[in-house]
Amino acid sequence: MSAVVELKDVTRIFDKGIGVMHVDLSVEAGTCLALIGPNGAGKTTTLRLVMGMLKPDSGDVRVFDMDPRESPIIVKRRIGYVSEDQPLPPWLTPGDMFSLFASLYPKWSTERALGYADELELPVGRQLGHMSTGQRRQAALIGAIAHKPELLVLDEPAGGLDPLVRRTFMESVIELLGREGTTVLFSSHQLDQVERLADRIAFLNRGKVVLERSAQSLQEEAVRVLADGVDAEGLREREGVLAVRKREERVAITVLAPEEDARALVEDRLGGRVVQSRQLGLEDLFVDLMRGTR
Amino acid sequence: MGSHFLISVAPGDSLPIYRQIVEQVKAAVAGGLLAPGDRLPSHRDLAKEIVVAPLTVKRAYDVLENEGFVQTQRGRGTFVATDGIDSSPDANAELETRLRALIRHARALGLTETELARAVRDEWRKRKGART
Repeated sequence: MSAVVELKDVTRIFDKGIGVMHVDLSVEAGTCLALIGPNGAGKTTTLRLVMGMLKPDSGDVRVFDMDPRESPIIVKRRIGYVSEDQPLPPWLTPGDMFSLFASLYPKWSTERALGYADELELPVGRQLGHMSTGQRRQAALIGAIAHKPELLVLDEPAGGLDPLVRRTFMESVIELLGREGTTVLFSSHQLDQVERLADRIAFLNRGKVVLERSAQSLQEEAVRVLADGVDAEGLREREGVLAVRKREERVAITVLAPEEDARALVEDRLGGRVVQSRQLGLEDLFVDLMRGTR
Repeated sequence: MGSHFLISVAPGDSLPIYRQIVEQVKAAVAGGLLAPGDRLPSHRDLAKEIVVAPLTVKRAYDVLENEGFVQTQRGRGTFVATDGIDSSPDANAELETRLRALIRHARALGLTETELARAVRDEWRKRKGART
């Protein structure tokens, strides 16, 4: 497998604060990478760098092994992109938009676009300016997938969509992943969506990638251990320890390690007794990780 | 395809999605919803049906295959394994009896539920290594 998207030591700092710092990421062909993190973590900046909409201060951004700023048209033709605040000309109808896209994308299929519009009950003859936010987003999503892009870049694609539209959209992304081998890079606050779609997950915080793992191993290697007889002091600085919470005489420790190793850490190296241990769901892990890397 | 059993995954569970799929296929086999020789939907079809990444379903099928629950025949599909799985009511009742005996034994030794579960899992994993 080869990387469709590759960021090497990429830094982009804004006057008003952090963008991204020393980010290394790569997305293998046909896989889906999700970026998650609190607001301001650098997710949108990362995606805009990939789209060639921002220039890195330092480091390398490669898409299809090209620089998206040097070859913007060739690169963008092979990408479908949706962002939360995408401007669409309000005087156009989705029908107009589809004709326009047909001239931009060699692989565009208006038939497919109309099929999606039909499925979502999107009025193709109404001006975008007279539509709801959700409907405009649907039009943008159709614009991003109807040319069967090799790469989908989605910035918080589910924001403002109702569950039914969100589901239809997810199904079309899964269809692209499965049938067309499309590569997907997306950011989302919807952790259930991340869990369903992502093969790999990168956690961003304050402009840095704090953890990047396969989605499948992630949950099996994030464990909370409840222990007796452990001194909470200085525990947080131990390698692999994400969070420490005192519960009366016991301590709850979140460890980034397989369950066996986490238990061994407590029993063999900290000299405590494990009362209970369990794997963490994505949301608990997210919270502990973000609090732990502040 | 997928007509004789339902799988639904729950994001947010402490069990990863691929594990949920593995467990549900196993339960369908044990409960007789899937019989040896039945064909499972292709991983792409199931992915679309339950709305999860195709590679996640693929991974679940790989695990099921490694554990001997399914067999993949190149170009034909994935089938419930015909050997080594006996899901008849008698066999299930037999297993239950043995489980009860095992729990009694563990209690007598002062083991907790967690400790027994761990012992079972460790032994299971050792054997999984041995059979492939």
